[in-house]
Amino acid sequence: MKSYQITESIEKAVRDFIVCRDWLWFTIWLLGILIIWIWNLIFLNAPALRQIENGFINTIVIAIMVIVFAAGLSWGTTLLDDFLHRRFARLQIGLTFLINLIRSVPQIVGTLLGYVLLTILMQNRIVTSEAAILISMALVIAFFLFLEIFDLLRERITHFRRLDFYDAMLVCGISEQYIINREIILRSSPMHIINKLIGIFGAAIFLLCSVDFIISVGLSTQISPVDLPVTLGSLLAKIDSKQDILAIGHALTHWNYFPNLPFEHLQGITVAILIVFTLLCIYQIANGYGRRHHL
Amino acid sequence: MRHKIIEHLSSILFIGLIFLLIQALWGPAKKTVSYQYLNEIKAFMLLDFLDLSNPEDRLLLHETLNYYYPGEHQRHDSLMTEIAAYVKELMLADTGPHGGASELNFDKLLSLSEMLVKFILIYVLVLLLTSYGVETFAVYRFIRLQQPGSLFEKLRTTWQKLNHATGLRERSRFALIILRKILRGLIKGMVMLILFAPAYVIAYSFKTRFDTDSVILMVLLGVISNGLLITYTQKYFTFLVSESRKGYVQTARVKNLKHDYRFSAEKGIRLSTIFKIRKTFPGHVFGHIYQNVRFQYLHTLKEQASFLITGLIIIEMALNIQGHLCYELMQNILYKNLAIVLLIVFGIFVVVKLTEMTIDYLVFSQQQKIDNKP
Repeated sequence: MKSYQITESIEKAVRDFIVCRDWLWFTIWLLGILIIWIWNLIFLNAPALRQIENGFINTIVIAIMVIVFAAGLSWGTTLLDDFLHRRFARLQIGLTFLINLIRSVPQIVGTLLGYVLLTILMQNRIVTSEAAILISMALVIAFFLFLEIFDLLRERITHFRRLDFYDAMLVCGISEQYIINREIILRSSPMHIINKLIGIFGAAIFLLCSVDFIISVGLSTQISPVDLPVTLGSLLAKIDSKQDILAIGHALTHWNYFPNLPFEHLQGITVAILIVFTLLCIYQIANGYGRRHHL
Repeated sequence: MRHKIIEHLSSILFIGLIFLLIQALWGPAKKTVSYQYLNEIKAFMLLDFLDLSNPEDRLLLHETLNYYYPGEHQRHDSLMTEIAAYVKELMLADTGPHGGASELNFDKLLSLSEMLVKFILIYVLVLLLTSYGVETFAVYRFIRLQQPGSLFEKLRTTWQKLNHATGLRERSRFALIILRKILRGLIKGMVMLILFAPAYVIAYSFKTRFDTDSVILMVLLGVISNGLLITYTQKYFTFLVSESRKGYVQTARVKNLKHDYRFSAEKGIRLSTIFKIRKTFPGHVFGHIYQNVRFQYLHTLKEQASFLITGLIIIEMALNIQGHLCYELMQNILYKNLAIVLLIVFGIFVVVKLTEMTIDYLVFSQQQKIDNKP
């Protein structure tokens, strides 16, 4: 490769980095998290820092699992829907009816009821280990988020069915399953799917934090003997964090109190910033990714 | 249309029947717990230095028992489980009328109906406001994008002017402009952070300043928080951009239809038009783009309404305001009043379904207009 070509490709990469903004915002997110962590390492006490680290890691791990489960669920449902469409059209109406039912249940209510079920399972010692609890939490959230990808996959299949290449492949003797799985989903839709999955990652963090916050505020730990793994939402609901957040309101009318916030109210403010900053960055990453691939 | 209405009504009926079945199977049965170690538990309850409702005290007691009676670990485990269950039962028995232990009777039904009506009113108000906000901001952003010069471009031009400027007065003028633009960018970033903050973060930040029980605050939080406004503005904006790339727009431009997007231009778009509730752009190519996108967006309105309901539920639950439907739902989940929980969830489900039916009807009537059918 000649030197001018290298310079050109570097220039293009830099231009893409700035214009498309997905990698730019991903870098901003990582840097932001790193700065917050270093600040906390210096000024926050060790046990509180450990809790925040646990909460953040648990939240991200659950959100990643939600992505995996949502992708799996939507893929399975799409194949089932397609199979019923080809073989048992009446049963497909039933499946669509059930899917529309799930769609009409507000995600937060569904997740909350799922958590109630999980609590019962935990009380009866059916779900015990922390890993199993994390997986169950992710499954519950994924169940109410997977429809977004399912809709996308169904749209893509319908779109490609109208094109000539679909019929041409059928004439060549290639099975419909192969065309759908390999040609449509794997080869022609990965950008669309990834874009949706980034959005679902953000939605999962939002739902998880909200449900955990609600549960921690609404359900007294004295009455509910079951402890769910700590997440950013449940950390924010702790009395210390809440007082830290209340201090922001105080600082709005007492401007001279502002400098105290990042030192004396670090725990709550860190958790709040982590939630808001992560949601904002994910939104920007999804937009940037869409712009990069012209979705 | 009839097919869709039948589908919606049958799903309401289906869910209603399932809830009735759940209530019939698990509702009335109250589990009676028999305690093996009741006398011991009562004896421990009498100790005034021990608060068995406190998990830490229970843990301390557990460890103490294990320490003094090392061979009876299994028995201690069972005892601790029974203590936790007993304490929980006592707490549930002690709760007052607002604690949620109240039965489902006519008065309760009446108060739940009142709460549902209040919830629907807030929901409709927030839906109208967010729909207006989404449309207005997206249109504004689109038009600004069509105008020459983005913020970065302007910043770069001013920076170049500053470098070439001679004289202190001129230099300070350009420096001030740059500072103002940077400040504007910072404010925009702050606004983005607020718009993306979950409602409970904003609510708790202002809890000491405002009365969180007020309907106005609820509506305000519903509109500005949870990223609702910004997410759907982006979706509307994407629709506008993709519609503007269609062939008919190019044709209209070639045929000299008005396509100047500047606010100050004679054939441009007036800023005040963007902020009107009924936006019309007569003779301008954007008028056609806007009309088509409005129709396309109707389908997304269902998704927006569903997300909005989720947001409102989060606000009501997180703020813990007595007398609101979702607070009542939370309390009844806590106190395991299955009948009330199912009734509230069913109420919310019906609200969602009614919204979907309304939107389907709107889509249908718009489609009829487009197809020139009576």
